[in-house]
Amino acid sequence: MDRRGAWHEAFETAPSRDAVFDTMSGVALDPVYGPDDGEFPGQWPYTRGPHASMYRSKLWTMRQFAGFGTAEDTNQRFRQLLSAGSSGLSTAFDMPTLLGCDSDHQLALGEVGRAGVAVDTLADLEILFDGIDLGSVTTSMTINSAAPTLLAMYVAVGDKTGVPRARLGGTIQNDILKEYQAKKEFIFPPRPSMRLVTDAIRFASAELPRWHPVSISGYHIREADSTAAQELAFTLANGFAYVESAIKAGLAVDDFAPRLSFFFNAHIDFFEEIAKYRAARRIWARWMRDEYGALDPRSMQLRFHTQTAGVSLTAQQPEINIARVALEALAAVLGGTQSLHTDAFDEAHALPTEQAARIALRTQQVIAHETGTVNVADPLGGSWFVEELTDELERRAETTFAYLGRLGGGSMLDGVIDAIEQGWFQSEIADASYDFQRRLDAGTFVLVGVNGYTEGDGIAPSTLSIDPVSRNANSLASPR
Amino acid sequence: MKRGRDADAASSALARIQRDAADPGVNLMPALLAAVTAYVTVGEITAALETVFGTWAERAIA
Repeated sequence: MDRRGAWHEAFETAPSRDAVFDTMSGVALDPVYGPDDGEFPGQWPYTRGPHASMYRSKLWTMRQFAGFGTAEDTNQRFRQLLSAGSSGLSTAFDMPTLLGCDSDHQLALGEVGRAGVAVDTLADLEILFDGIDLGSVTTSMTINSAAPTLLAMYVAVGDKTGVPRARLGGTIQNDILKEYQAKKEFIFPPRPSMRLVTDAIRFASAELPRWHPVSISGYHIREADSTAAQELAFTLANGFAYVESAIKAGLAVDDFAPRLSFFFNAHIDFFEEIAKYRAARRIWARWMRDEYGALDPRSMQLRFHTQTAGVSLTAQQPEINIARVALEALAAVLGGTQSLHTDAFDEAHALPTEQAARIALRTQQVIAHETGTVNVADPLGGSWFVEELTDELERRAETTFAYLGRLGGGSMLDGVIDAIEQGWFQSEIADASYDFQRRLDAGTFVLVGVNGYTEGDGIAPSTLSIDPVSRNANSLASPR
Repeated sequence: MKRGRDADAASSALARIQRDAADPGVNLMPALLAAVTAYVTVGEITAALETVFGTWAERAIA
């Protein structure tokens, strides 16, 4: 059977959404286009997508990130989201929680509950998920340094409410390597931190079959102003480091690799972003099979969440950001994302207002229901330009892997940690950021509203303001 | 909260975290689970791990 035949068999067994897959002129569309002996979606090395049917079976998950104030405040928001038909929760924690600090720590002053929910003890998580059946929702928790503690709390809430551990579903970011490289919310040195990440992977692989114990994140590397090529190479190198660490801890690769997932940025350079997602899938498949001995196809299929680039938003003429977010989100969908968060246009100023957050979600709905983008898988596959850009980003990533492999004496784990300790990633990202700033200053990159077309700047939007919650509002001060 | 919890359970959970952290062969997750169940705070867990792991300060980029 040729590759089209194999694809067709897989496609026929996949469910189909109840939708019309024609153009507006009534042209009936195939689920994918390409030569009979070419690569199809759901086929090795998965350049064209992890599944045969892609968005014909299931649209991406529109997962918008939220969290603020006390556990009671966020619990109310969660319940509203669930009653409005949402099945996934996504939790933002405040800065003290992210850094493993209690709300009464002196460094927490003014930050408690400001950028996410404050958690000090299990009592806060019990309130946060009060009245919510952890066996029937999936929860994403964005936390890294203190991730193992928060994962333990989530499991404890499940235990106390009688939900079997095997039914707990969700994701914890738990990606410490990019903290050293870009995001900077670390506590311990890299090696003991890697041990904590690996302990969580081991625990999840033994006890939590529906849990994703690491979300390997390029998003923050890009937000620190790396290039797309760096985001791709550094993120996948970090992924290899986690795989190596788990294998060294005695796990079989196919026992944990299917539960690894990725989180990428969607920036404004449209075709390069699409090529980045395609290259990521292909590189991951090759390395998992050829370097780490994976046999289960699910270990080789890279699946990812995407968020549009906060760093691309401008404070000047903020409503232009609606257009930027739409283009970035479109690139993520053309690249085959499994899940997407669209930024709100006022986020260069503050956390979004309700109206701005609604427009962000509506942008995804326009792409999903109006543009027809979802009818055909990998619609840019076969474009000479996109294929060449995909190959070039892959070549550049391989150059980085070769460097890190040499640095680590053949080990990607040691290479990545050594490079962090030497400040290599950090200085590569800083150089890229500096180069981009010079292009802005020289005017060779025109950023609309910033160094060009500035009429209308200076009108600030009305924004949401959140007062930090009283340090006494949390469980620390409650008499149990 | 700290007054209302079982003080002995909390302090022995913290001691276990330090013991387990010092042995790289042990998975820390069971010790963390025991600690959070005893209403040990996030900050107390961080402090206990710091005594074994130390902290990280970034070096300046030239």
